[in-house]
Amino acid sequence: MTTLAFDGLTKRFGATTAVDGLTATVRDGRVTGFLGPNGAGKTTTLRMLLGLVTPTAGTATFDGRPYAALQRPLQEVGTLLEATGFHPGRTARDHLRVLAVAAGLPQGRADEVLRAVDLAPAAGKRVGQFSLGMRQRLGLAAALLGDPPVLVLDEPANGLDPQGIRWLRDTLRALAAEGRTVLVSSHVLPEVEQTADDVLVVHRGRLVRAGTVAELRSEGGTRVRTPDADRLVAALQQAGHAVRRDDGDLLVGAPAPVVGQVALQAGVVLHLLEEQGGGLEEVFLQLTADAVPVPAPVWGAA
Amino acid sequence: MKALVQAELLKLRTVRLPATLLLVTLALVALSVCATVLTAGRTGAPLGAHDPDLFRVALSSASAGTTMLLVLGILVLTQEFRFGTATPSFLVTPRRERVLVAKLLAITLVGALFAAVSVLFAAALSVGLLRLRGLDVVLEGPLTRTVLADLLVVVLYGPIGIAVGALVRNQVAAVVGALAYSFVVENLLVALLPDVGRWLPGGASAAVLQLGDVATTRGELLPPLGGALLLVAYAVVLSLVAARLTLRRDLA
Ligand SMILES: Nc1ncnc2c1ncn2[C@@H]1O[C@H](COP(=O)(O)OP(=O)(O)O)[C@@H](O)[C@H]1O
Ligand SMILES: [Mg+2]
Repeated sequence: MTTLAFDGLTKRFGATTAVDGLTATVRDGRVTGFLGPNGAGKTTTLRMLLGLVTPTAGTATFDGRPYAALQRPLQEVGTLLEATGFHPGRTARDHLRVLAVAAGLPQGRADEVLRAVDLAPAAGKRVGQFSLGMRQRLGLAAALLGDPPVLVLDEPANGLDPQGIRWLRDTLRALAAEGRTVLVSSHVLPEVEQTADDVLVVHRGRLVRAGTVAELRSEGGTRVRTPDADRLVAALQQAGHAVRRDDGDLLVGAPAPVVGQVALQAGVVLHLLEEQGGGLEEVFLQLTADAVPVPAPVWGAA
Repeated sequence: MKALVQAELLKLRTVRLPATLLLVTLALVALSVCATVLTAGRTGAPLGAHDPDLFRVALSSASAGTTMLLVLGILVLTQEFRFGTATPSFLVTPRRERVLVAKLLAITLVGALFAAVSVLFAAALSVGLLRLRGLDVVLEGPLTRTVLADLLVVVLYGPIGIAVGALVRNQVAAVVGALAYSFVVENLLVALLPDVGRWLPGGASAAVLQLGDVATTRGELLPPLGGALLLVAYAVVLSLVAARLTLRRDLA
């Protein structure tokens, strides 16, 4: 069993801070959804975890060891990164054979994992002719090559059709049921919601929420109606709460009593104060919402 | 390391590029053999039709593949970045310099294969063309050393290509730069600064080719062994610089 830990992980690209002091733990034997809108820093975080990008500060480790210190990386951590990383002229089977040979695994593993991802019929096809969905399956096959106890998957649902997404969900569930630790990123919450036990939500490189899916589901935030929205927004933001305009109302990422207290102190009249039963989706929206005037394009174009 | 070299060789076997470059190499060898044998004895040609060195000079055409090995080395490395296969490569082998070493070793083996095929092809074609012209095949002079010189230069250029690729990383820039250097810049340097010429890769390979006693016109050269060592040194030094500077860059 392996525990993944991020500690003060930071990455700056010139003036852009892609990841900003991320500290979090991924518990072993569970599926953890790594959520955030596009550009939140998910890919950069995972690439630092895998030793492909050097952090500006902080560490990312597997049981205390950086990826580069793993003895047999493919047998310890399976990885799916975005759908590049294939030579277009090489067949799917050959791509996997190359990795197997380099990792000291039997070449027969290539066909085994191709079967596991339903790609056996395309084994002899050049990857250049693959659809995005097929590449994602091939990427997952590569992740499974060393039968690792840990899987790190970056947006595995990208490019999959609804059927493929369902297949992915079932596959991830099956892998988790075997006791594996799975860290899976997504900018589309529903993809992960039904599979994940835990979630880490990042926004603008910062961890904004960590918890179990069950916990987050129970926090729907609070709906407020007031004739003096601007003042209440300012007061709420000053108090550190996420606020989003919603059809003339405000949605606040805080329980009703807290919102009522802030409104009282700001001297703002409330016409409605109501806790949302709220799904995880609403929580995700609120957590990652930008400052009020511009509604955040949370599931913007991928 | 053995597994890594095997993986690198498998990478090369599972794409078309090496076979294509081998064909180009053999075409260059054929051109050079034809130019030597078919012009021999005609006005302006360096060798007479009955020159005892004719077969040996034709055989030395086997070194025509050096540029192709240089290009292969560059492409082997830069395509990893262009297609993003560097990511899975470095995920399997996080210590990136090990991947670089495996590539240097693998291309040396591939270079030996290219060189051996080139020598056999040059020999067969030379004999065929000489017979066709009704000329004798004279097996005289330092034949073994001629072959050895050809094998050496061809083998030693692949690792230099790998190192240049690792240093530059951009495929087009590396290939264009290397070809422009080999065909233009180096000749200019040699013309302007003759004393520097023998220390450049081209001067070093000319030095190796002296082994074969085939006339070269580059003035004072290093001894053949010195030339070979200098080519190895280029590959090693450029690789070390790449390992320290460019190879560690973020794969973002
Ligand atoms: N190589 C890079 N150079 C400069 N900026 C980058 C680079 N990679 C990512 N970024 C920036 O870092 C931020 C986070 O990107 P990324 O980690 O890809 O987010 P996500 O995967 O959550 O969509 C973005 O603003 C992105 O533009
Ligand atoms: Mg991403």
